[in-house]
Amino acid sequence: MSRSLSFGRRAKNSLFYLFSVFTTLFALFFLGAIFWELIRSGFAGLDWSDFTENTPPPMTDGGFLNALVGSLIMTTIAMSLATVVGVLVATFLSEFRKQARLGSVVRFLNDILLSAPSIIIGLFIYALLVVPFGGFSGIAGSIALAIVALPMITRTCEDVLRIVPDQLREAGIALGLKRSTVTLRIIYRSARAGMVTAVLLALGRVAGETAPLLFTALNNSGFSANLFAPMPNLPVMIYQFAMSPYENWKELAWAASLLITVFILALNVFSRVIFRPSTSS
Amino acid sequence: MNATAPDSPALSHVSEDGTPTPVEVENLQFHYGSFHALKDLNLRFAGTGATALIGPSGCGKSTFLRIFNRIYELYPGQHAEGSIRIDGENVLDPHTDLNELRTKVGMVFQRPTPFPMSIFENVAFAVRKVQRIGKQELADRVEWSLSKAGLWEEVKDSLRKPGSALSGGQQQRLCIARTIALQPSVLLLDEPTSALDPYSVQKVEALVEELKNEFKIIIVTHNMSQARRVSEETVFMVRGEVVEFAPTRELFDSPREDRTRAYLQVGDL
Ligand SMILES: Nc1ncnc2c1ncn2[C@@H]1O[C@H](COP(=O)(O)OP(=O)(O)O)[C@@H](O)[C@H]1O
Ligand SMILES: [Mg+2]
Repeated sequence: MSRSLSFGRRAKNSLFYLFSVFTTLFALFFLGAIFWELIRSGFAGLDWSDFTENTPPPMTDGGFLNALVGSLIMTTIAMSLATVVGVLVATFLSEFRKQARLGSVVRFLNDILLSAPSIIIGLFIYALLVVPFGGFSGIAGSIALAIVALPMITRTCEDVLRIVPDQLREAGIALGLKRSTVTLRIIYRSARAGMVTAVLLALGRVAGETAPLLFTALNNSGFSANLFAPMPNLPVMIYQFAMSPYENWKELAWAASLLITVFILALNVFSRVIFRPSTSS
Repeated sequence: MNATAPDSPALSHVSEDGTPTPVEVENLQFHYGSFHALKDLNLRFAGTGATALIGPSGCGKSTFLRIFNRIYELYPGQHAEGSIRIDGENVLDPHTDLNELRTKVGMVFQRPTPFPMSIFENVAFAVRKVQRIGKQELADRVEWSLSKAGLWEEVKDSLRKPGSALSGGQQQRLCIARTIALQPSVLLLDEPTSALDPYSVQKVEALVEELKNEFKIIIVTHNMSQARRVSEETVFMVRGEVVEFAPTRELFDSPREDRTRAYLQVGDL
């Protein structure tokens, strides 16, 4: 086979191959460097008190308990909202195809939302919920995050629902089952792994989002679980602390960065693992 | 291990004097958007036994079957006119309760479509949703259906396993089982064996032989010898029209129409 190739073509082939390998290594090198720095500085800053103490004033010891709890609260609310709405919209798009025209409008809007920079979503919520209601709040932050997650969940869920063969829907309908029963008990079950993956991937995206929170939840140096007050959170804390001149703040920022990165990595690996069985069947 | 048959499904389209009412098709038209797929079908099927639908692919066999349970209404732009009478009632009547119609007219598709649940649930699911029935009765019904479908012996020890774990032929019999579990009066089979291996084909054919004593069966097949083996009457269609409708033996041994003769000689090309 290779004999039929001329010398020139073989040379070009090898050259191109080497070039690809080199570029790949180049990219991997930077990825590795980032990880290395993150792990080195992150672990150095990470200790138990990070999880038991609130964010400290400059030059004093402390942790990021308040920011972690704030992030957990806002992420949980955001993901609950986005999952419910996203699954419903995806269901409308994939199961009510007789409404094709409305469906394509909704899909178009969703795609716009999907490609909207998250800072714009932050600004939008700032104008809609922060200014009129007199201040930054955890609920505004949650809603901004929900809007980031929503189009991802909608899009991926629609895709996995559409993969379910029409014959399965017809088989359910042909047994005299109600449309809702077929959707809830048969179609969702078939698409379950893909839908869970969609939610996990959106969660991974939302977990590190900073821009939508800057204008909405802002930050809070103390512990606050009040949804109607500014709420501390990890991304904005990292943003503020990393840029500060204070060593202890920088250390906390690195530790929090490591935490978020490991969480997102774990989510991605986990979602790959759960999606595998259903793609093979 | 005999399935204790809950009261054997009485043919509900049996008239007062005990003779089943025929299935009557009148002036039936079907459109996919602007495409006229079925052109004025008029047929009168016997109320019992099996009726075979044959004809070249694309002639409208599936389209015809899909009118009986109005499943085509799931899709925009498809519509039917005329009437199909089962038990004297026109299924195309706009007042027909569709869910009720579909429990009365069962349908099995070309490719097996097991639900993502256990073997037991595959059969029990729709029964539980559609009929009010006790736990024991439900278990009996599942056993009865699986036995009728010739699958009970093979799965009785693995009812909790997922339906998708079965072989293709077993899955198809599972689909038949879950359809007859609702005790329909008409059973529509759309090329039920075309995706199966020879062993499973034989199983399903034997099944049709048995089931046709209890349910009215309308079976689409591209396999001439299958039509011959399992049916009493055969419809031959071409391009959305009926060319010939006759008792099976007559249609195969002495077709009246030249087109039928040609098709039977050359087969489905
Ligand atoms: N969803 C559809 N939209 C438009 N045309 C269709 C659709 N389904 C089938 N047809 C057309 O209708 C005709 C009959 O199809 P079908 O009933 O599936 O044939 P058969 O089952 O006899 O092979 C064919 O010409 C086919 O192309
Ligand atoms: Mg067909």
